[in-house]
Amino acid sequence: MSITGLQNRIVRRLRFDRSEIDWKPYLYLLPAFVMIAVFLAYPLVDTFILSFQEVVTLGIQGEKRWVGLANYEAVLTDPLFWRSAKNTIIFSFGMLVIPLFLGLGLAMVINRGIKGKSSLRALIFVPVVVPIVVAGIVFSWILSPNGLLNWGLTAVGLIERPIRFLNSIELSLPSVMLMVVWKRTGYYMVILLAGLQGLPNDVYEAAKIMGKSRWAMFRYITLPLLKPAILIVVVLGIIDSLRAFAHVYVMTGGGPSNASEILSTHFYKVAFSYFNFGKGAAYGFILFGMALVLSVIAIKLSGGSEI
Amino acid sequence: MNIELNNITKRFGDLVAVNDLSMSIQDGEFITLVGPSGCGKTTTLRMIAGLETPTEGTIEFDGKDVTNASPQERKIAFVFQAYALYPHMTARKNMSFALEHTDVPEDEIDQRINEAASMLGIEGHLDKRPPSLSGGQQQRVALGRSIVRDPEIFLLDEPLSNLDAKLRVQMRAELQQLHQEIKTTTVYVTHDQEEAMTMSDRVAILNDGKLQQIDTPGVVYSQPANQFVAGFIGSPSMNFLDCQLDGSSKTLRTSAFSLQAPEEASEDVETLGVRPEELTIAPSGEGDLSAEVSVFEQIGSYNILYLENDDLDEELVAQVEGSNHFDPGERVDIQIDPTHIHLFDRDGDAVYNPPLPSKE
Repeated sequence: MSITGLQNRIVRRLRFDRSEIDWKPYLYLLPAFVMIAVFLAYPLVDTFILSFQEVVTLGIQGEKRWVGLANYEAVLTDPLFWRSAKNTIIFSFGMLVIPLFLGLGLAMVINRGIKGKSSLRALIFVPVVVPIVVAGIVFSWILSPNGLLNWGLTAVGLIERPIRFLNSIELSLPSVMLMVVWKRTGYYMVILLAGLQGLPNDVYEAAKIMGKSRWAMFRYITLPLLKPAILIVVVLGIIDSLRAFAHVYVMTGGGPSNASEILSTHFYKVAFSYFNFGKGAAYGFILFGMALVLSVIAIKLSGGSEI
Repeated sequence: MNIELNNITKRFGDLVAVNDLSMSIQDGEFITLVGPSGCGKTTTLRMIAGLETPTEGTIEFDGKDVTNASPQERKIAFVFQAYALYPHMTARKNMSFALEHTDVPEDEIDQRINEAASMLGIEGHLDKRPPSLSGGQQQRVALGRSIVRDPEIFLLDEPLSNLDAKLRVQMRAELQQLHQEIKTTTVYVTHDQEEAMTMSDRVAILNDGKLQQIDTPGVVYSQPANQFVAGFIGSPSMNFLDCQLDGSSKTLRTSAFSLQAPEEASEDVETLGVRPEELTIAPSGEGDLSAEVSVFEQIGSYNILYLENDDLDEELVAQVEGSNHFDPGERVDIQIDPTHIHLFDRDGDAVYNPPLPSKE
């Protein structure tokens, strides 16, 4: 019997019970409800409860104990949390600010119509489709003491001894950011280019007739009209900066001495390396709250909700 | 300011958008470029504005060559079909934007905006943004933005085509009034022959990038230079019938009827043109031909008849007084006044046009 046939039979049977309610629409919605309940609602509620509990992992079953807001307090008084937060802000420059400017510049160059623009657009977009772990490994090779970058710098005589980019307190985070900028620029460029291509040409012609300079057109026409696209990029950048994990984990693991530790790698260590599930759950909700607040601020600051 | 277009041609790759166009526009004149889509009217306007450069030919403003001058050097104002207002700026800001960072002092900018706004009746909408304004109000803001710059030439690219029919008629009158007040040279592009006829001092009809005729609305209607102009100007369009001239008897013969030919008619006449209003209903048995009403369109002040005759390939259109009513299938007799016909040769050029109606 076909699926539809089976469904119809069940529906008929439900009707046969002379129930007042027509169950048919609920039956069709059931698979989605089950998926959401099992994979979203239950973990969310369970983690929220967990964030107020202390989990003892010793013993076969383990044990949960109610501790109130102690987990949240533990996270917020942990100096490593604040160091990771500071690193995340720095990291967000690689995730959002630098690629936003680069992406906007490239989008404007491509939008103006240069020779070979389709190839250039494809070339800039390639890093976006490279899996993050692959990109991390490749950049680790390039930046390693006997990697391509050190070889090049030595060959042109800029340095005498190889630089240990990924093992340096000062350079490990910027090294990860380099890879992130490479990966994000094309992503933002495509979003901003779509925004630019949607702008009508006649508003620029009107400005040209008024004798406005290129800068004035960019400042007073392009930027304000591109605001919805920029807003999308900013919100995505903020959320992804807080969610970013593999970028750092693959290349430096947060080291050396937590020099490149960001919130998500620290969160992972608290929960799954130190098995501090209660504190980890609280950490997760703090991250969620931060992403929410920052996104709302970004939308409010830009003066509109028209994403 | 006088505008002189000297043999201008514009090519986009293989496409010739404007072909060897010459035209003189007098200071303070309201001239309309009219023609079907793709005839080159907007390209011509954009070349006058400096948004396109002619491939060949020159453009002069008051005798000065401006062919390669930038738009801002030409001191023109351009009103776009879709208004091209800045949606993120208020109406006031849209109007002041052009004058900001120029040598016009701020209090004068304010004064000019207030004057233009009261002229256009948009004083109450200056603090609104374009998306919250109606089409007509947006159009007025776009006009205001042009007026405050005090330009030497107004260029308008189908400015009324995005408005509904009623508003279009209203704005048409307002634009005429505006032109009478500011008396700036105005070049207006439209595909609507009615707009061209009602608003302009002179009408330039273009087709396939070529100028067909440029003259006053009265002349282009009564004495079209060729069959294209005759068919394009006037609604409903002129009726065209194949005909031959019998030289000896000076008679024009069509497949359905004959007419006395005017003195000026020559042997190379191939087409007879008659305006719908010149086809009059005659008492039964007294007309030049008899035809059957296929469609009756009631307009109100006048009505339109679509007529069929078995000997004619073409359908005839007649315009009758509003009081005359007919039913489809009814037979009517039609009379044609031989002094009000138009004759065209094989190339479509006019061989004979009736004289212009006198003012009495």
